[in-house]
Amino acid sequence: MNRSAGLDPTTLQALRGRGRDTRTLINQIAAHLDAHDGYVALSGGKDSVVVAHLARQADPNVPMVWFDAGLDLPETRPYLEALANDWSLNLTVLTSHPSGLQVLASCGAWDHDAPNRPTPELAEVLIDAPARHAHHLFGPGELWGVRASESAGRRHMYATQLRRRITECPDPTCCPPGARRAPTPSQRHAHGGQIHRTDHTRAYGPIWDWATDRVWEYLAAHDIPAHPAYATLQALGAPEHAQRVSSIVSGALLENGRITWLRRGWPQTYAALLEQLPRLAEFV
Amino acid sequence: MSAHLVPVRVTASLAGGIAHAGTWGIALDGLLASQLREQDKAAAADTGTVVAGLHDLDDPPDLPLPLARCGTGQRWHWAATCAWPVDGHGLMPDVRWWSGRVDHADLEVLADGMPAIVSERQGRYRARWMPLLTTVCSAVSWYAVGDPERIRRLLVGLPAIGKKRAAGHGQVTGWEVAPMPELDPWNAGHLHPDGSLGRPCPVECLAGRQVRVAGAGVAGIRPPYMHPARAHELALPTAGPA
Repeated sequence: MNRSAGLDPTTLQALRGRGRDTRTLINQIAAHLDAHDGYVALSGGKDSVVVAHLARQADPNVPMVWFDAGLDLPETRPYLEALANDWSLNLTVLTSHPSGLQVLASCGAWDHDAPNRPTPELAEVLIDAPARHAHHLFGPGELWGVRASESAGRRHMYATQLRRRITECPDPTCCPPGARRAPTPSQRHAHGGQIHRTDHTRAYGPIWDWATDRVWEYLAAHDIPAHPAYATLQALGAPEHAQRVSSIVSGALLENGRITWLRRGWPQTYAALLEQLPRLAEFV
Repeated sequence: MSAHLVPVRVTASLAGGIAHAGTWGIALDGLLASQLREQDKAAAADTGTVVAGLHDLDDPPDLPLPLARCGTGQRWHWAATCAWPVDGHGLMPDVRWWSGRVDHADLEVLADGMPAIVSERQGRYRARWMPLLTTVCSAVSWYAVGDPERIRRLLVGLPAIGKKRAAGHGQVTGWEVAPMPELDPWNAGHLHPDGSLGRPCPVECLAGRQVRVAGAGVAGIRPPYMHPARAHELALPTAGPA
């Protein structure tokens, strides 16, 4: 069937995205980097790529870090290498030791015939240890693409941190002391997305309150190619919440069909993982 | 090829399509092997014996399927393709959903002692909300080289194929096994109707032939497909009509 050159939704997205002013956001990113140094956590997912693009406008040489835990889709490394080349990124790859896959395979939980063995916590291997290393290299600051609308947990995290920032705010005109009410738009703008951790690192999610559509609009408006896995997942009919490209097997979202999409879209990767993690077959 | 093993086309008419997890369709030799295995288990049960589970065997036996074989050594396979939807809307699956949660009453029967809380939000017994990828089509077909009458006898008692059969998916309304004497036997054992590779097979099978494949990777070479002893590096079949 010949398709007519009708309305192109990508063009519409791009037009909407070009109408938005991100200068204030870029200034806030610059202020975060000035105050805390740090790096951009770049996974290759659409959100972190948007943050990387914004951060480059604040500081073209800002360090970017890809945490390679050995659990990413095969397209991720070439995609990030191409992005780093096209954008001349100051990209550092921090590889987990042991890899996430080694931890999963050795713990015994993924094989009914294997004994359970004490192994490092996956969160420590995938997130905590690489993040500590990155902070050691680049400073306490971090820019990430985590958005509140991604999950209830993330919504709660940003809401809790926003309340704390408002309570701690020394400016009475911005945040009058004693006032307990829902954050105003100006308070959300001034304090939203800022995460203060107990280890004194400081994360900032510039797109913390963006909807998913706005992320796609931004990519379209700036002609930024998305990770090719999105096209694969969309062609399979995966809904928005299932369109995730980082950490294939992290223990998260298994009960929501993450491995089902992996098996259909990446049969070779699934088969290779199944050799090491036989119980993956229980999640398709 | 034995005289009674001829190229055939097997067609399963479906009530509403077929749900399957793999990239390519369900293998005909897998269906035939499962039917034979069920017969073996039923016969064993009649004599009061129990057939060992396949995962308890290092090298599961190859059942006598009514199909021709291709290849030698450990890397041989049955001459039969994977399912090909005869109509429908191409590669895009219809995404349906199923949910499941642990039945606490069942757990109390099965376990000696129960913890105070079995979480449905985390851990091994968390509730599931899973996609079920369904190929919507009125029928699927396979090519094979085999004994039409014995294939028919094995399949006629199979009421449903694919995943979630108990929930009504993959219901078969009729089986048809038609000899295809005009079909080249090699093509019948390896290729889909569009000429692309129709089953996982060793690359040596394709030597000297121009066949469109979906790549190469580890896959089961013959039933039982999920058994580790059957995993080989193979050329992979295409998913279906584009």
